Amino acid sequence: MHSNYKEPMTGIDPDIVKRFHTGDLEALRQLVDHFQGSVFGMGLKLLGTVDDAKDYSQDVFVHAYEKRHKFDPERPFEPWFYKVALNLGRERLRKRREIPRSDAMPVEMFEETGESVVIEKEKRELVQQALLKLKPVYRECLVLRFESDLQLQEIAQTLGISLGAVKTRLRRGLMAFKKVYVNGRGGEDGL
Amino acid sequence: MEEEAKMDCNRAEELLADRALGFLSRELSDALENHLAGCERCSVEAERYHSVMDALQETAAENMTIDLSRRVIAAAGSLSKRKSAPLRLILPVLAAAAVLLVMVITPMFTSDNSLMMTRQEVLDAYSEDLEFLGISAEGIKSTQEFSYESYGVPPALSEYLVQ
Repeated sequence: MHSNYKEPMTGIDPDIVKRFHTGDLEALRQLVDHFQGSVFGMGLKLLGTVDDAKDYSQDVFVHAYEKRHKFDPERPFEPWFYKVALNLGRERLRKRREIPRSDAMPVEMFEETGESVVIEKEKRELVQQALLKLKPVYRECLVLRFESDLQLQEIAQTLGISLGAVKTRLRRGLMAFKKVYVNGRGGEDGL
Repeated sequence: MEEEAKMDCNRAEELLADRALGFLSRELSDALENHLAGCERCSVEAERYHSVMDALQETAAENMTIDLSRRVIAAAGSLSKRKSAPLRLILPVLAAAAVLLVMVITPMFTSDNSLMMTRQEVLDAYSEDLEFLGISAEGIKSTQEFSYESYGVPPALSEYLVQ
């Protein structure tokens, strides 16, 4: 059986979270180091461009720091943090709809060279384009699962929905993604 | 086996998605495998799901290096300063307002008669000057009233100034 189960993510040190809650900038730096990859990936997959993802990532951490008093240190940090990130992503997408952009599609990626890197880049662009064509509810669920590496229960807490709803969204989202992704690759077999 | 018997390709695709996501039970997984063994179309779909899952997982940006720390800390630091900035701006304004308030209010409490000179005190104060000018203090009419109007000030303003 082809299993894609991932090991549960290692949570952030509670001590760092507590210090972050008190406004400790060093704790914030540690949080950035821990989460920047997944937040940047979220930005990339939600917004579609590297520049937007970079700005978004910075905003997520600064916004979380600004709103840290709303976080209950007795509760898990990840769902709260990703909720902040997700809401910021939604806000950016909403603003983008209000202000049409000419460069809304992913055009620029990391500066990379080499054949394998080019293939990787193309694949990444295809994934992003396919994700951007999905309904936001499906896209968010897939991004939280595969980019942020959240477990089902954490996704449910982040989105404020039931575990069953998370499974349904992931299933439908994956089916929709598969369809768009395969079409994007020309529908070839033996992918 | 009941699931296998009635499984159509649409159901098989749902199960393929579930399997890729790790949701599938052993029983359903076996049923799906049996369906795949006899369905070429769904076998192709199964391969596509492998490919799709690989793409989703491989393109996760966890390993992409971006140096956010410095920018985030700088922005968060300036955020803290910005929050305290209004107080710094308001303090001088408050101080100026307090001074003005004192200037306005103080006369209200101090403008009693004790600070005003009586007619006799004024005459006494200027007695030497009056003497030098050869004017007798008694010669100055006590009932003589000063009038701004005599200096061309409009009556309305004169009345205000007298008050």
